[in-house]
Amino acid sequence: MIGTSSTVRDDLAASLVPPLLAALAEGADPAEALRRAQLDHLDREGWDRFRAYTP
Amino acid sequence: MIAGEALERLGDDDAALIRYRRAAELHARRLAAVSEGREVFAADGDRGARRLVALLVRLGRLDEALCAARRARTRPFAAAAASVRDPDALRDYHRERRALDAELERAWELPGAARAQRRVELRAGLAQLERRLDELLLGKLPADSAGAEREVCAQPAPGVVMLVFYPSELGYLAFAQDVSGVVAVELVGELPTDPGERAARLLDPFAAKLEEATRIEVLASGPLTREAFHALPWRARALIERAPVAYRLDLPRPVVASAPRSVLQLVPESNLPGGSAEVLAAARVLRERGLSLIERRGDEDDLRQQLRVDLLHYVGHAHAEGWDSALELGGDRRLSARDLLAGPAPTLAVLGGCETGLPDPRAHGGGISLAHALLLA
Repeated sequence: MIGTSSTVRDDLAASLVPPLLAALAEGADPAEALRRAQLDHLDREGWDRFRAYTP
Repeated sequence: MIAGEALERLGDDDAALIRYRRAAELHARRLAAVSEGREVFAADGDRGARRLVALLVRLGRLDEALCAARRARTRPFAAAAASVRDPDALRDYHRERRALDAELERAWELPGAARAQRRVELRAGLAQLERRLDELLLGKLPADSAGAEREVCAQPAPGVVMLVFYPSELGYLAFAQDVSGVVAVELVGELPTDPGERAARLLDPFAAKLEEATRIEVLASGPLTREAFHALPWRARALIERAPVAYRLDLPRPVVASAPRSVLQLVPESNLPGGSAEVLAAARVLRERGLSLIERRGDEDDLRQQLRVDLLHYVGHAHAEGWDSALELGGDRRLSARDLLAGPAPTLAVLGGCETGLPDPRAHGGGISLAHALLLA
């Protein structure tokens, strides 16, 4: 599950979430899918507020 | 507990271990009687488990110490995760809930004073129904819960480094485990606020393992559940540049990775200017990959049944408040953590709202958040 640990800016979500979903749709592990999306946004404030939660 | 501590002071460690284990078991039994605030109660009153973990570390029995810490951390979730749910009772709950939600909607059509009165009545009915659901979700442990607890101490897979942080009397006992074994250190006192110094305290003791990791799993407790480990500086970069980082609840079931086929895009009306851009871009990439997309605004009667999909994408407002955490669907409509726990639930979810995974720093494993509810459902 991908969730957020605080408030998130909707413009950041609009940029980060679609590539995350694309990776998930291709069968990527959620933590790896989120990592790939976050690595492209490390210069954006709040990138670290998305987390991969696993069982 | 006091007897255990006295025995430990006298040097009778074996007898002290027996006392501490007994105290931890007693606390677990008390836990079963607590419904509201179970996760916080579990962390507050587990002195027996803390002494047990600390003594096992002092004795160099690190595998046992780590396992005891993990058991104490996940204990409050055991019933919610594994309870044998009564499908008939759950069906009754969902039916009554749908009827109440519909009545709440219709109440808006009543004139002023009558509307207020009716809404008070209906909200009282809703609170009563939610209490019934809590009992249903937390009522009993499955008969094989002992087996489930054994499973919780399973070893990490090759390449995985598990970082476990468990409260001690002086700060935290920190463990790192991979296939080559366990190392442990005690982090005494307050953690530095400077990110570099903080990362050094939290990660440096496990440098050798982290250098080899292909995946890092974080199992934190208490205030450290809010630590963004993936963003901590590591070798002048963020830790996530080293390897993917997952925040693990530690349930006794494997992670099943498979490509989703069905997606529910849940997008209530909201004032988020970037929301529509996210929805359109997401829909495009999902359709391009051949996924079947269902769109909902949150006011549909069949919404809960539609959650039985491979992937949920939520775009909207949300807030964190333990079991009352909720995805806000507009008006009085919401999907709370307990709604999600009651299922049906998606296999995967991307919850884009605020605080959808915000941990409770008073609880061992972060307590109940929306993300945790979906993992437990």
